[in-house]
Amino acid sequence: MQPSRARLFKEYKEVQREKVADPDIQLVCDDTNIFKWTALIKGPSETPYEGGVFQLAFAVPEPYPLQPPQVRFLTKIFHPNVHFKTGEICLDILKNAWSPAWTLQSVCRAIIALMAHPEPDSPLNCDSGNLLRSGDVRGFNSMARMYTRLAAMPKKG
Amino acid sequence: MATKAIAGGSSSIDDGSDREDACPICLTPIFQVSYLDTCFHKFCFKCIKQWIKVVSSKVSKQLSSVKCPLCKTDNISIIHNFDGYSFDRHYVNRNITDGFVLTKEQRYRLQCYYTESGFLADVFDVSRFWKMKKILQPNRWFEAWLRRELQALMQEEDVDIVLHHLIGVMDSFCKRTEERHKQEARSAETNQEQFKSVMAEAARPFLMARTDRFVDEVELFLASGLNMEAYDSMYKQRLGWSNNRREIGAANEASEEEEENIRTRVTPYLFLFEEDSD
Repeated sequence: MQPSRARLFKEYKEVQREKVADPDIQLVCDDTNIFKWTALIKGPSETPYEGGVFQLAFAVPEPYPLQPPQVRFLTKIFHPNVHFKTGEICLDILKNAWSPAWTLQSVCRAIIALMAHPEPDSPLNCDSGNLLRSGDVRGFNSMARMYTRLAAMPKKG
Repeated sequence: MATKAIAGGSSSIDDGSDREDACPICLTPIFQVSYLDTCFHKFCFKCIKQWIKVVSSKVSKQLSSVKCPLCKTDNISIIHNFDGYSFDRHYVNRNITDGFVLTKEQRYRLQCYYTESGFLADVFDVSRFWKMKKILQPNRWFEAWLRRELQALMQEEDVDIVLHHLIGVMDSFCKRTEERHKQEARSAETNQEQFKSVMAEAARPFLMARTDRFVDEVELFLASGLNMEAYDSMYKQRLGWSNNRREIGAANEASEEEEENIRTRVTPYLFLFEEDSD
């Protein structure tokens, strides 16, 4: 078995076991392809993403864990470090600061942390970054909350 | 790019007692346990070596250290093959280019040097070798064998100078013996003594505390009349353990205990340095 496959299988088992431990993250492996995963993460509290559920798509490369998984938001999100159209995430641990000790689960945690602590100085979403950089926290919060309501909350009724 | 100061995913691995012995890279029980030399985090030897390879392939110049995947501490080597007496160090900056890594055979031979001299004396008839003056007959396997031994003992790839020096010393010893042989008959014992003292003198500056054991080994190899492979398999048969046992791992646990008994006779690694430590 390829090392990546063996390791993903290990992670799969771990996820099954940890399901209760971390209610904010729900990682699901594709039925037919262990290299494709999706995750549902809860927007962290006391942020404009609170109450939203965001879907992430993981594409795991063959050399994993020597190479990081590719992760993007499937759910629209207004965040300085997430591309508004593609959902691409700008996060160092997914690029040059990757370490093979990260797991899909811990990557999800890192993304939740990024949602709570945006880095407006390296924006993928310039509008969002500019609002924060110009100090308009209120404007940023209301935009982010609006998109959370529009895209990340289950429709009522 | 956003930078997040989150310790590299350690939380997902360190908690849970049953996973304590899992390698953080492959998440399976650690195989051939190895430690980074500064933070002492442990990994499978293969896993951490692969990671170092990946990291060095991303930079243009030679890496001298690697960050621990768990704690980001800089480390310059991997400590591995720890067997209670000795360990090996795999340096980050020797890894890719001109670094010299002992082959399996050389590593094995190094272990043979921990055994007592005269270990195979009953197998090969050394005194007959001297009586028959077989030293005067060319041995076509000797040079290759000698090169390997020197590389193993000195842990260096380029041993040409020492090699040619020793062969030169041996040749001139043989010539002298031959000439003398025509004039006066000397006892086999004198020849043997002479040979060993000449060789020891020549090798000592390079091999130091290992010299005497080395000279015994040279004599034994020549006396055996075997080629390198046959000589090695003689050793392996007698010693009962080989470097392979680590690779084989759990597969042959039955013979493990036996091997363990034999291994305990092996003298610790550090004694080799006793004489040259001042």
